[in-house]
Amino acid sequence: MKTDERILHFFAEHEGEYLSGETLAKNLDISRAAVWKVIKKLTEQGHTIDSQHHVGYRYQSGKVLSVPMIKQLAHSDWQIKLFDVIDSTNTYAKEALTRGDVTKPTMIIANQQIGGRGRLGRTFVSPADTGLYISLALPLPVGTSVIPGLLTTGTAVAVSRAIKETIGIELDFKWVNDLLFKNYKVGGILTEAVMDFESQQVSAIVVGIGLNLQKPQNLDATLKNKVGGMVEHLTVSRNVIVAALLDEFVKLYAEYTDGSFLTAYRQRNIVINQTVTVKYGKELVTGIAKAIDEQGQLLVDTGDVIRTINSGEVLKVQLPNNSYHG
Amino acid sequence: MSLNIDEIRSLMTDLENSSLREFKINDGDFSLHLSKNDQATIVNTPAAPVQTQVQEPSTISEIEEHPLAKPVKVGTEIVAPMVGTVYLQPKPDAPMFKAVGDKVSVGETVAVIEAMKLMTEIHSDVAGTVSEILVENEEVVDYNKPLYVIISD
Repeated sequence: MKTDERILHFFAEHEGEYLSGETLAKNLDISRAAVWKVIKKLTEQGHTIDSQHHVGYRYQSGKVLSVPMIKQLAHSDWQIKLFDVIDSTNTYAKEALTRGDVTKPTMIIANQQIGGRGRLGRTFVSPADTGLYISLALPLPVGTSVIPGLLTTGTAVAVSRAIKETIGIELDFKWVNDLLFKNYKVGGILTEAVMDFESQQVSAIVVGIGLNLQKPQNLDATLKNKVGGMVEHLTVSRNVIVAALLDEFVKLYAEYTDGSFLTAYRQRNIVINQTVTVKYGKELVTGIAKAIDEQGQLLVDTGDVIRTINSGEVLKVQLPNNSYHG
Repeated sequence: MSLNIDEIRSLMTDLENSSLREFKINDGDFSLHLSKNDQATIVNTPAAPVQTQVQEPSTISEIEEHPLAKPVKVGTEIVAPMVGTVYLQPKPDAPMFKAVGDKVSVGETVAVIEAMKLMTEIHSDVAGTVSEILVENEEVVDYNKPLYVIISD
């Protein structure tokens, strides 16, 4: 790792703290003159580094998302767009793709969403500073194929890998795309397609990821008992998490069609071998969730037949000790 | 067990109208496998004429029955571009996107189709008036299934 990257990592690990030139020099095993030179270079690149005489350097103030920091930490060179407040990153991505403003895979991040959405127009509470609201805008060159069932489930696995690497916890999944921690919902994925008007073909995909790193405050009564957070106090920089997420997603997007991630998806899916009720179209299907097939579809044994469910959602999971809250 | 062509046709219709994706019969020498599981992949292909023109029937007998019939009206179907659950309202409890008789403009959202949590907004590519709604809310639809008939202005 280059010296500037190492300094950024060190800043990311000590977010909000002032670090003296001596501390930096000692920890990174470089001279104080080298520290000064790198800080100067980073500032020129657009990083905001506060320096106070006799105190030291502080990267940004508080828990600020920063594009230069994410770019520095991530290996992928995808474009990144950052908003402090936005209606919904998915809506923005869809509009930008439709207008033709986004022609390369792009990550759109917001610190806060005021119109965050889940499935079917449901609200996804997206307060500032405690979560991550990300959309991956993916234009599809003509001839590209997408397997939605695998992209949605694969994204869940990519997110869980990034969270494992950075926060150190293991997320569980609820088919199709709910992310759970200790039986509370801590995130969701909303994948949307953009249709080209003229050809009536899917011309782009938007993968939206909403994560509650900490439990959102002021939830209404129905959500309060379902929604949770991943950590009590956020000690990892969100920039580090975003960078890991970008890298994991880029890796997945290159190879998801082979379905190799499905093993991990099945292992940590809470519905397997449980009695579930699935809303499929207008029907309610109750049975035992037997498996998740090679296309990410849910196979439900109703006693008479095995039903293959490829849309809809699991309304109810009957876990033995009734521990699931979502 | 064996089935004649009409019985097989009738089974195909049943499958078409049910939410079952596939089924298989094996009985001695006889085996039959019907499946609708072929649309799991969405390909962005260059040519895609999915829009079809519907002409109201204009057989001789009909013209005799309706001597004052207006010139044949042409409706345009808006079809499902993929397999999935079709939603005719933006969210539960919200009003339907369109009712019969409503005006539709080009680009307006008329439905959302969901497959594996891939939500696709369906936009009208014609302007006109909704003359028919051919699916029910939350019906599971197949590729190319007509959703609406729009009479152009």
